[in-house]
Amino acid sequence: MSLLGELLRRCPDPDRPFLLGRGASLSLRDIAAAPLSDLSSLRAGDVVALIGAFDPLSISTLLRLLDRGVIVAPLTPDSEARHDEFFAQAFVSACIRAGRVEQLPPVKGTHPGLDYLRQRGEGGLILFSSGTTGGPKAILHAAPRLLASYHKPGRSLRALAFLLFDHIGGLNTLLHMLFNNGEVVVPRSLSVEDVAADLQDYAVELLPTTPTFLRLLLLSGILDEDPFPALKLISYGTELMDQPTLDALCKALPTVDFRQTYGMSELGILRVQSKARDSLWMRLGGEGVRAQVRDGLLYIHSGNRMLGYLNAPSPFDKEGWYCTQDMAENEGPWFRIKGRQSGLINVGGLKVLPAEVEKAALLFPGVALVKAMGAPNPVSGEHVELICQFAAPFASGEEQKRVKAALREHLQKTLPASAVPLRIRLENVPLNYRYKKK
Amino acid sequence: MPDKDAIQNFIIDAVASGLGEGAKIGPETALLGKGAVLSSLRLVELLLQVEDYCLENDIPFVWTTDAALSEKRSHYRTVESLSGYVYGFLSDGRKDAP
Repeated sequence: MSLLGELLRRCPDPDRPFLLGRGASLSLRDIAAAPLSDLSSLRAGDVVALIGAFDPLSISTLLRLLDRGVIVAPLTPDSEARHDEFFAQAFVSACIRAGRVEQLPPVKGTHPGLDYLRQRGEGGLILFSSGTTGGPKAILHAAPRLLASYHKPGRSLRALAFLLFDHIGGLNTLLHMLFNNGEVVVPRSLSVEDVAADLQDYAVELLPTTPTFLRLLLLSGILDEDPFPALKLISYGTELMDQPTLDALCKALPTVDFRQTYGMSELGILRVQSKARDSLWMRLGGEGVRAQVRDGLLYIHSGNRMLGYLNAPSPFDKEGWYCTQDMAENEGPWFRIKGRQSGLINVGGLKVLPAEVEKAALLFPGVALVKAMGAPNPVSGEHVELICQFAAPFASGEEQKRVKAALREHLQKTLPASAVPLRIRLENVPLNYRYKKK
Repeated sequence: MPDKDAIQNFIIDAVASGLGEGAKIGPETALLGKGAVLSSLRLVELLLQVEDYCLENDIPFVWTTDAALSEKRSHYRTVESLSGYVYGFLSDGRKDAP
């Protein structure tokens, strides 16, 4: 049965809009009745980038593409500067913008994972993730395997689409609510005030979000007056939660359940159970999911894991285990994450590679050595700091100030906002005896 | 050692410099919540600048504390509340956040 057919079969009222907020209204009947864009030039097995958001046109197109056996790479306009790189890494042959199909220059080569899907006549999903080393990884999933996890009934709730259209967490919210007759509210923006207004105006029951957003919500004072009577559940993930923040949230929202989410695009959808609403201990479940701690690191085996990277070697071992690079501890079936092993900096849920910042800084005239690192703060979890060593000493304090301001301006122009160092120190970069940066 | 006005003036200048010309910043300017003039990243940047300022002036200011988050009324809400919070470390000689 087609995906749309399956959704229609499960839905007691296909005329009821499942998409709300920001003027949106979309029901399954709308999608089934008439395509909102002309997809006739696309064939099963084509790799197609869909640039969109949680709007009727994008959602309708996504479902229709998957039904046609297309391998879809959902992207957002926010990452436009990197789209050409993504297209090349994922062998993309066409792109859909605002409902219009654009054929791209002929693709050179292919990948065994794409050929595997084509031979089986299955659709696919390609998601991009920042790897711990090198550039973004193109993660290929077989659509039927990924979607299989939604066939088991789950809770039907009205959820806010906080995570984005190109994020596995955002797609998970959409698909979970579609398969379980829930509703999705599109936020007017992701500012604390707008999200709070949407939670109130649409009586949202589920807020999937990040610890950084929850810290900002606490700081805003909005929670002082029990403002969200309809809210039943807050799920938090994509970065490390800390116990004081969780305790403060549990106190401020005594009737709301809190659940940790844990997942990586490579592993598909994991089912996570928190030990208690105020606990950071969690149990991992789902299709073929097993977890274990080896040498202090969390390893996961997942039945609906990706087929592989399109632009990097497989990260799975022979038995299919994946090293998450998260330091963890366990007590029987319960796991607690302690932090990242790698140097990836997590700024409010956005991953920043130190190497990306260092590369930009080294382009500034006169810079000899640089070191970028993450530093903790209670607002965004982490921020980027930079030590910058110049080849020649400064003539005066005034000159040093002027150069520092120019360097800051250069970094603001060349890096995404989350990667711009918030503190820059002009001093010697510490080196160890092998002349490697400490 | 700076007095309360000097601390407040430093914070006003730091907020204004991040917003460009024409920004009118005063004690009541909101740093958090409704009407806040700073994004979350700019707020972190401001607090780092305040931390550096305090280091230069021997003020034992600590902002990366969990206590700030568990306060119902955060010290970071306005320029005035942040100034008062920083000055508290100077006048009380506090080693940790209240």
